[in-house]
Amino acid sequence: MLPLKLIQPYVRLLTLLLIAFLSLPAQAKTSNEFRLSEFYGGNSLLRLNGERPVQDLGITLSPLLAVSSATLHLKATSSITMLQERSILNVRFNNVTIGQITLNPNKPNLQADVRIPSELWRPQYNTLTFAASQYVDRCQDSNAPDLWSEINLYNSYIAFETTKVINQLNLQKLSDFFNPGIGGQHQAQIFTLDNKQENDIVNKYAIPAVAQALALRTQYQSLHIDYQNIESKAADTKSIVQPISESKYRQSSWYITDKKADDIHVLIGTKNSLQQALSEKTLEEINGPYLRIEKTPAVIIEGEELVASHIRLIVSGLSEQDVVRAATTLAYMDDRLNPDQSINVHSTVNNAFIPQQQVTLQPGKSYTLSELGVTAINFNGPGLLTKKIEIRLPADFYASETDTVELTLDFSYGAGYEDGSTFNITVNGKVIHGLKLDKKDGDFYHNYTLSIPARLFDGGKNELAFHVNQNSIQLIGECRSVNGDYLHFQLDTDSKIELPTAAHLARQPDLRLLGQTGYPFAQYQTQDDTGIYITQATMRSAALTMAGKLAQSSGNLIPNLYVEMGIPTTLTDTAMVLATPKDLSAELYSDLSTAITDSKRWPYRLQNKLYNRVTANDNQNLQPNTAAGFTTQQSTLGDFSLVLATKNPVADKTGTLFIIAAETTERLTERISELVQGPLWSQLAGDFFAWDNAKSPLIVMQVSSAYMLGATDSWTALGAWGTNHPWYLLLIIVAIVFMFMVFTWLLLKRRHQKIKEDWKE
Amino acid sequence: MVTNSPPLLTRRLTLRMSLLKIFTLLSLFFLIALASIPLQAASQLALSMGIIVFVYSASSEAIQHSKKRELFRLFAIIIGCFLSIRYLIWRGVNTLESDDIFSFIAMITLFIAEIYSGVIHLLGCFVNIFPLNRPRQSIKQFTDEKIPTVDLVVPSYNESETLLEVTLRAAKMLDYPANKLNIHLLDDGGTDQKVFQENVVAAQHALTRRKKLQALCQSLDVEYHTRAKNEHAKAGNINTALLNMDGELVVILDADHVPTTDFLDRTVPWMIKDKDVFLVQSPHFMDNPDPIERNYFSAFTRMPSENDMFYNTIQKGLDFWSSSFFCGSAAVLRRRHLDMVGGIAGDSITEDAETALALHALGYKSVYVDKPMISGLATESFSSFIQQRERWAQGMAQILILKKPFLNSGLHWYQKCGYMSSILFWFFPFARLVFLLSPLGYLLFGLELIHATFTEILIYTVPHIIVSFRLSHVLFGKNRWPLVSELYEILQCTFLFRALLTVIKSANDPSFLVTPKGEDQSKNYISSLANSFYWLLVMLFIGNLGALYHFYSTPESWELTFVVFAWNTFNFILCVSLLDVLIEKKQVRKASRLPAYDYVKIAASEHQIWQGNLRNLSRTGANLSLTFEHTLPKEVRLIAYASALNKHVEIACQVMHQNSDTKEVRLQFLTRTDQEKNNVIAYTLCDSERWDSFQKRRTRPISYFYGLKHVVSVSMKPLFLHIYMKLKQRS
Repeated sequence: MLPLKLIQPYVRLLTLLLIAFLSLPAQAKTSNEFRLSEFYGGNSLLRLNGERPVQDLGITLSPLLAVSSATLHLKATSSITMLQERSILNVRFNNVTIGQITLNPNKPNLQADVRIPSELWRPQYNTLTFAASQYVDRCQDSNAPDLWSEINLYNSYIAFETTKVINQLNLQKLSDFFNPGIGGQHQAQIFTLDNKQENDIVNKYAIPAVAQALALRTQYQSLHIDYQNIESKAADTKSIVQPISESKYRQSSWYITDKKADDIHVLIGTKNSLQQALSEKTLEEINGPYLRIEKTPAVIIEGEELVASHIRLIVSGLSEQDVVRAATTLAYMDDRLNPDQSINVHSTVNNAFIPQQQVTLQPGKSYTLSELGVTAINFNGPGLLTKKIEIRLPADFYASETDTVELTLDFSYGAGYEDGSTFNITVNGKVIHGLKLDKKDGDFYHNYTLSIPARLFDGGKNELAFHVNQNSIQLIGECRSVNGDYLHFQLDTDSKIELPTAAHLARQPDLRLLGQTGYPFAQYQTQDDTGIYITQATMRSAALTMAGKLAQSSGNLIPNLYVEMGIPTTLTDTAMVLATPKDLSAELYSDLSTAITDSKRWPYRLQNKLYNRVTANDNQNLQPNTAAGFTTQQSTLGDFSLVLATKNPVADKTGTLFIIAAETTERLTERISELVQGPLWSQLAGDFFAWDNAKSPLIVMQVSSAYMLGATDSWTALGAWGTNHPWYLLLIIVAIVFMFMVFTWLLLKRRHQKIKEDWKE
Repeated sequence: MVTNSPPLLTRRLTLRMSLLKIFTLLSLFFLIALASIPLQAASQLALSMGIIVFVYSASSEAIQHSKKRELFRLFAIIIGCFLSIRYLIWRGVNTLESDDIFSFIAMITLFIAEIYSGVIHLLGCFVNIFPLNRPRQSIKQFTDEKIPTVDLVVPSYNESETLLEVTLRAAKMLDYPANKLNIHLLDDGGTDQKVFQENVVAAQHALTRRKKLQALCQSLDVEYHTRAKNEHAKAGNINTALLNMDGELVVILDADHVPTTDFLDRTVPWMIKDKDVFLVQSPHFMDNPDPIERNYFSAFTRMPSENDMFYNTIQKGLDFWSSSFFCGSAAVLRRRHLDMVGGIAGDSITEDAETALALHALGYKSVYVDKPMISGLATESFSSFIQQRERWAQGMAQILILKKPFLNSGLHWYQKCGYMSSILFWFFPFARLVFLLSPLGYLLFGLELIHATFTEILIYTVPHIIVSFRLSHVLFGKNRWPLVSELYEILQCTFLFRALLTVIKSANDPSFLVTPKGEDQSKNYISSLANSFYWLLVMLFIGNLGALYHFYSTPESWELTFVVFAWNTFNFILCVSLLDVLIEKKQVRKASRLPAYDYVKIAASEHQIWQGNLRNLSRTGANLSLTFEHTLPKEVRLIAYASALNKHVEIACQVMHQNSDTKEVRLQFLTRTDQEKNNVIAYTLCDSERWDSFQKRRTRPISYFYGLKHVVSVSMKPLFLHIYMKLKQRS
């Protein structure tokens, strides 16, 4: 017994240490593998052509992660004509060479493991570079077709071992938790306590605002929201069981059953409603809209970890309005400016503020490239070099046929450009201008002005790209070559783009526009209330996930977006309904060729001549027809879910109604989680979109009549209507011409009669 | 109760009319509003195509004598004008934008030219929306007391005695009570000023002319008038002579205008019926081709004359709007009304239109009788043709500037439209030159002419052009073949442009120049006015070379280049083909022969008479085919029924040629006695039915493509002919 007594303190200490170690999951190592294709925007093959090709992959890492080890598993194929002794694939990480792989013609399919030293990893942005030296001959044409190798990005991957390190927990770290890179959090739990009023202000406005705030931090990565309302008596029960730990237990994240401690969760509610979950100190701090990030203590009783330590974000306030303001502040705030663990918001002033106007370029104004965030455009060396610039216009940007976007460029290129050197400019992939770079001594252009038809620009995101093909001097003769490093092209960032004034109208329904810009939930000119209506309480998580995605798409908070339980008789003009078929009434589909109730009305493809028109990105020319027919049947939705967009039949004014339906609530939640992920979300199009997985849709169709939505002068609105209904307009014109003809005819006949009377006299 | 009914009925009618006018204006307002709605390309295309279909369908019904053709015609005009207005609004609102000042100037200039053309088109549609067809009237229906006295005046300046004799003899044969008709020759070539001028030769010539004409008048029982000074040209001549006349009506005939016998019979009744009528105008029928018809088309007998469009359609349209105006000759005027405005007006060199304007402004009416009852001579050479048109253009411009009809409070709004349509038409040289030269601005100097894309041009401009052509066809198709207007305008534009500039510079400067008639055309030669066309051709050709350069240097804008290239090529083809006009063709015959189909007899003696049918007829001879073979003696008598005299006449003829195979005989009339002269004139020139039938024969529509084919088919040959003739001239 003695020896046991002697070692008991040590055992206890060891146990405590072990428990302490185990209770620090933030410092636990995690292993992950990421395919390289996840870091590359192109297809899954990275082709390296020419003598000295170089390609970069950007690898983003959450700043909270410390990489303890990382290995690149590379699979590549190279040309069998390579000279083995000179052909090498260099692998660089943050510009340091970490591997040299011989391109062996006898073994064209190569596999290699390259260790990436931990010290080379930088917080957030890292660059993995593949630079090949490819030779097939001592003297070769640098553009010879057999100079190639390709890396299979899909089968190549990086294996990490990382540790989450949080040195000092404060609100600055909030963005790091939701970093879109590796290690970032892509799901979030939101908790409320004793929140039984389904449609109170917190439920309706504050929680959706928090969901949006978090989703905005994940940027382009999807964020799945899991919402739970906890009964506070659960805490009481525990406290009765363990009265000694009552205070500690209250401060803990007792409401979380999951013991995974890495992720941050959100606790939201008024000061009163959170009494059972916050410490006295925290409760004292809440004097108004309140935000706090904190690490909750673990509760260990008798060696058993009852509640794990967690990191949580508290969004609270004295009143429900305070909670909404705190949530709104959370969405707007720059985390880097908040080095404290908690803040009390005194006021938020947004005079005539429409968030969308902060996100997009404004029609009628001009912007230099530097104002668009472009730091410098320098192209050096030979080859085709491209700089892409995002031009984000209001989703309802509606320019007239003759409006132009003026592009005024200052650019120059140095001497030695040879035949085939070109400067091409594209807008959304369409070439709008080309210039031969054919001055041997280089040239300089100032105020080189291009008038680009504004209709080439879509509402939402546009891509303006500058492509420079730089060819060097071709030397003829054995082993004579010039590497072309001297080629230098520079586009001044003072170059500017001038947008025409435009009306604000968008063709609806258009899921593509929703996917790209969040329109019509986020609008440029107005910020009317927009509702996401759920038919069952368990759909709230899905609704919040959707709210977050809409905020991501719009690039800003949608302040008047709310989630409401039940479907009222009149919906907001722009509305989204999440429901199962049995929850939906036929009223919503009275004028449609599609209906999702227990009895389904499907405009099958062969009954719908519009279905194949949604593949075109520009659907401006879509004719305003509806599906030619439909079939009514009794069936279920099975595994799939669908989004149907249509003119809102139960709104006060013109608006768009989005209906998302699945057979069950669980299926709906699952499908929405899939929908908000990049691959599927980016494929949204048409007004009928069905899917059953996260990769690709089942079917995409256009089934409803087009109409215009937006705030503009009545003249433009009339024009837009005419644009959508040219045949109706023609009929109206013919009718008025006919009327005018009849009136004129009567007048002419009367005059004729009068003349005839004169000559009878 | 009964006594209250008429005012009530009147009030109701007035109210109904007011409502009708309000509804008309409202629907017009809605149409203009709809015309200005901005649309995206695909929808505009649908709209344009739809309207084109409506215009073509409705106009086809209108042309094909549908029962409701007038309604279909009206519908086609209104909906077609809608598209044109929409085009002009689009041009004004969306296509005038350029950073380059020179481009902007070119752009605005082209736009003004288009606005001008558009306004002319719309005014043309308005004027001709309801051409008035008047019934035949005759003085036979009136008692002798009601028939007014008429002074028929023939002003002359330098016309030959022969020419005047024909006109005066025809006037003497007018079917009108002799005691109520006085005929006067107003000789301005034999005035005291001319007779006593310092130039002895010219003075002698004037004196001789005076004596000869006095003798002629004496022989024909016509009053000869001359005056002291040649003041105020033709207007002054008439006004001076009017002081010595007292007829209730005045008929003015140009020296070469030979009246048919029914001229007064058909016109004077309108004066009797309505005392407010100050003018009865009849068409000018030309019995010879103008230089363009002769040199270019050689289609005088097959194609409507340039005059036909004005006299067969436009004057009828103007008549409906009480705006048909005096054309200087072939008209009856009321003396009382003339005196109210101080006689024939003389502020401008188109005294006729000016006089009509003054009397219309006083509220008096005009009547247009659509029956060719005057045959005149068209100008023979291109230069005299241009001289005549310069006078018309300058005169109309003078009226616009000096009389400002658009501000004349005495005119009704529709009369203002009528006058503005007639006057503004003469500003076509500006627009035509702009349309000719604008493509060069782009092709040679890179100027932006229109701030629009290729697609927009296809969906706005092309439908507008298609519809405009179609409406022109609907309105004037029978009387004006496709592209003929363009050809006439191109021919005149450079010369008339200069002439118009002198008026704009100083409205009082232009002076009356008598149009030369009866010129010698005994050989082929290139017109002295050809040089400006050579320059134009060279420029257009260089323009097309510029287009090729554009295709090479800026391939990205090939669509725009293609449009301008096509436009320039169209101009080039028109100009090349017009070179044919500038070759003045030899005119073998003294008088033009017109087709005729009369049944006639040829008599060699009282017992030798053969039957035959006329093939053609002129004032100097005839061509006929005999029904059987027989060699004719040298001199024969042509026996034919002269409708003008309502009896058979015998005309002595010399047989010039007889073809035994074709049985064709060519005769020359012998006019040795007054009676023979009268018979020839009565038979050949005094039958209005003959002119009517000839006109109807050639007024027929052709398709646009046929017209285009015709122009293209003659496009290259004249170019080589010019080169050949120029080389020949040098050698």
